[in-house]
This record gives sequence, structure tokens and C-alpha cells, in this order.
Amino acid sequence: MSDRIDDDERLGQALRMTAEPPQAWIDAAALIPATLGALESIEQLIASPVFRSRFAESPESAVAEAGLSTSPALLGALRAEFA
Amino acid sequence: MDRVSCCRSGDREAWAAVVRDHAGLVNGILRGAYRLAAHDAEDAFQEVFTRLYVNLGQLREDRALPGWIAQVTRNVAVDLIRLRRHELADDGLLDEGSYDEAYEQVVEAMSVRLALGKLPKLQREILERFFVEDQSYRTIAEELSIPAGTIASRVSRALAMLRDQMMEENTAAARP
Repeated sequence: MSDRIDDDERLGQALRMTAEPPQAWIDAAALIPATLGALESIEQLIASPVFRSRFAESPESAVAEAGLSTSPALLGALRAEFA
Repeated sequence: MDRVSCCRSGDREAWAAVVRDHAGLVNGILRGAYRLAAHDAEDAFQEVFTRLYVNLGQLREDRALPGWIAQVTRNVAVDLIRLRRHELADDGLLDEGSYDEAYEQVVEAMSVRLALGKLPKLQREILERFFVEDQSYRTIAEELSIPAGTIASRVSRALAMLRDQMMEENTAAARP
């Protein structure tokens, strides 16, 4: 019986040692492929003279046409890149 | 197709499952073994999974995942500890060996965590709440809407299922 209790406690300890982190960390890590994919797309866009020209005319339209979110952070970063 | 192959071919669900299954291992090493502060552990957690995603091509099968992830987590933790010590102008040598025992314990414990992940949701929740969140029988009963008098036996049954699952995993791992 005491072996069983020791064994139960060992299993419990193993679960405590590998407790999951906050859900937000897991959710953010699950988005890594999308984030890296977006970064890759952005790098390609930055290197594209066509995109650069389109961005100079209308930043929001250029970003939206490229399939990316027209977030202020991204628009600001692209403006800084092209300045 | 195994999960590594699915991830390589762009299956986002498979990737999310890999993250979910190994989150406890990475967190245990960062917070338990290397005792990183929460904000450093959060950054390191993302770094580990980013490295995993970028290097998926190096992995041939699912079985290699826990070992690879544990080793990378250890490297990221050590790098971060060195960085923090450097920022504090502490240039003494870092005794990496002082973390070994705790690291090995977390890695060994991972087989239990992986087996837990394969139990039905209710059994998983009961064991998490009882052992990890340290909830009382009464709280578990209330939150899961099950009779309080049955919690002890449910914990016992869930532990038995966990042991069976671990035996099954060990048997599968021993197959050539």
C-alpha cells in the first residue's frame, strides 16, 4: 500500500514539475508559423521595387493588397524602412 | 504521417498540438530547473519554439521531439542566465552542472506529462487540479460538477489510467 502511495506521489510530483505555462504563452507559440510566414512575406515585399512604389502612393492599399494586416505598427515599420 | 512531417508540410493544427504537448516540458526546465523569472521564461519559451519551427527539417520523427526540445530549452536558459549575469557585471564562470539534477528530473517527468496528455479530458483535469493546482476534493467537485464523494476514487482511477498509459508508451517505445 505504501509503495502505491509513494508511486502516486511520484506521479503527482512529475506533473507538478511539468506544469503548463500560462495559456497565453502556448497560444503565442502556436502562432509562430503564421508570424514567421508574415515576416518572410514582409522581407520579400521590402525587397520589391513594385511594392515600394505602390506603398509610396498608398501605404494602406499596398499592404492590404499584399494580404497583410494594415496595423499601425506594420505601416509605421514599413514607412521607417522606406524613409 | 507523423506530427513532425505534418508541421513541415504547413499543418498549423499539428504545430499547435506539438506546442501544447511540450509546453510543460519547456516551462518545467525554464522555471523549475533553471529558475528563470517569469518574463525571461516567457521570452525563452517563444525562442525555443521558434528554433524548433525553423529547424523542423532536422527532425526525422516524433520520438526525437522531447529530447531535442529539452536540449534546446537548456541552451536557451543557459544563454539567458549568462546574459543576465553579464548585465550585472558578474563575470564569474557559470556552473552549468549545478542545474543538471533538476534538469534531469524534469526530463524524466516528461514521460508522465506526455502520458497524461493522452487520457480523456475529465481524468486529465482531475489529476491537474488535484496534483498541480492543489485543489481540494470539494473545489474539484464544484468546478467539474461531479459528486464530492466520488473524487478520491476518481483520482485513484485516473492515476491507474495514467500508469496504464505509461506502460503502453514504454511498450511502444521498446518496439523496434
